[in-house]
Amino acid sequence: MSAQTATPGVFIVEDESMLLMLLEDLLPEMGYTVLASAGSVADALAHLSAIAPDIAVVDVNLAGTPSFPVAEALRARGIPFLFTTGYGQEGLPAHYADVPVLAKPFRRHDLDAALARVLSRA
Amino acid sequence: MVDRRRAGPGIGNLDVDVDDSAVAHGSRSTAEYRVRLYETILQATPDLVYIFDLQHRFTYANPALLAMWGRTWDEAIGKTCLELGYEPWHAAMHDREIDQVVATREPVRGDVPFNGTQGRRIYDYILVPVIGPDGEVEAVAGTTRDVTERKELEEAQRKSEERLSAMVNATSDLIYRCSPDWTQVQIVGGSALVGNPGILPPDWPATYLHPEDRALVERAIAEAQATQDAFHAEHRVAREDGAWAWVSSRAVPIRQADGTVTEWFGAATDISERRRHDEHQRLLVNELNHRVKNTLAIVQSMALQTLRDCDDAALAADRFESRLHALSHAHDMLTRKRWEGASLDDIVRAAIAPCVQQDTERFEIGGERVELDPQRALALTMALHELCTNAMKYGALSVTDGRVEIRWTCDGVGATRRLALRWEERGGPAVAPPTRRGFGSRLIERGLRHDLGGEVRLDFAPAGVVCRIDVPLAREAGP
Repeated sequence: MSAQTATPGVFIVEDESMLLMLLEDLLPEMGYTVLASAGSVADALAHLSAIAPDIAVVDVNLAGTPSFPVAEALRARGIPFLFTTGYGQEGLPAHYADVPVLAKPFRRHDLDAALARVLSRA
Repeated sequence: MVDRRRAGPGIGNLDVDVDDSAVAHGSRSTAEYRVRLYETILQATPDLVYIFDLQHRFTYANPALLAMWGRTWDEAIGKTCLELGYEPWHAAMHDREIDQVVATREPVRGDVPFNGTQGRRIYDYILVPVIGPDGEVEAVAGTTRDVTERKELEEAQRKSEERLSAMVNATSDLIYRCSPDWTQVQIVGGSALVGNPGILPPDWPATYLHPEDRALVERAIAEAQATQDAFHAEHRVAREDGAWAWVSSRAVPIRQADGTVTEWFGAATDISERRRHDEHQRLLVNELNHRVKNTLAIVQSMALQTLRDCDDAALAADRFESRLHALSHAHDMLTRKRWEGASLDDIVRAAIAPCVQQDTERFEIGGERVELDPQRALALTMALHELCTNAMKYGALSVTDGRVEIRWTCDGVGATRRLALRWEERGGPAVAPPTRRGFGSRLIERGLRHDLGGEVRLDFAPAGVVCRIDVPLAREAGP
């Protein structure tokens, strides 16, 4: 649990505003607090130095750029995360085999279940 | 045709010396016996046998020769080649050869075509000197064999080999042959993919096959050997320049009469270009799938947020359709530009198209030329569409005299270049700020700010809605 909220704090990394807005709508209903969001690698890394999320939802592809540096930064800080992607699992390097992948478009309960699974493992 | 058995007096006419002191008392019968033997052989042989005297006249011709000429003994004997109707060059050639045999006492051999009763045939002949009791050449004997079939066979084989060689030279494939156990490989010719023709070193699999493909090729060889059937494999080979080329390689066994495979003969086609194309195609399909999935997620988001925003199901359906339509328009616009980007002018016109219909005069549009990448273009189109929809429902476009001005300017250069776009409604009913910000407003403010990475201000000013968009134009550098 993050210090500043009673509900788990989520960090969203998603370049597509429509999907970001959807997550911003859905997550509070599922009992999460959206701490911050970012649409690019640089933006995400800048935010990460200022916040302490309990979990992160990371889009694999940020306007054509892989978000792996963000994933690495999250790992380094021990923050559990899941990937969202339109590519499916095969687009991911082998060392992310243990990271849950949420295929777009995803259903609300898929998101809920994936977040719960990530948090229970953390 | 002349019957050989009635061809003429035969060799008994010749003054054959068959005197043999060892059988002196029976010399006559011995000589006759020998003549019978020779006569029988000469009558029966399919070869042509003949004798020339020193004046180049035939003094003997066996039945096979008479038959080939189509002449009787009496017609032929005592005549020269020329007199028998040989072509002058042919007769002259034999004249020279007879003289040569007489002069050198050595045989002369040659082959020559001749038109006889069996048509044009090729003859292999040998002329030898007949040495008289005084040690002088007294005549020239000859035997001639019809070698037409053999020559034709040789010619056919030569042509076949020439064709094979031409094929090897003409093809762009690499032509190779292998020993039955594939340990020896010879590059015969064709493409110089792996270098010039020649025998490959014994460790050719290690030298020429890509490490990842070696097992596959070895399996294919083992299978071809086991089934004695065509070998086929697609694999990489080391080109002469060190790069890897993809080849489709096929080889067939060549068998001897008893069925044993004596060698394998094959061709390898360079399919690098096709493999590159396939890979490109795979990437394209993958990318398309990604875009489709992303678009479906956008549509999902639009649907959910439109529904949340609106209690009236019919109204929600209208709004959703309208947004879906705008998204579709934006896709069309980007597809026309091959998803490389779009000019701001195109974006604005695409966004307002559904509102304009015949009434273009209600919009004032202007600004300098500026290009946006696909993602920003899409976001701006959707935001402008929301502004349009709002203006038609509540704002300047809901009354006949209302107008909308869309103007933009660019400032700065390079990394500091910024775009300032202003949407301003005039002449509409007095505007009251909405009691609650719906999806449309969020899409404009929150969405656009996120997608464009700048500032977006939506003012519900009493004189008309004003939306100011101020964004950096330089794409953020990669990580």
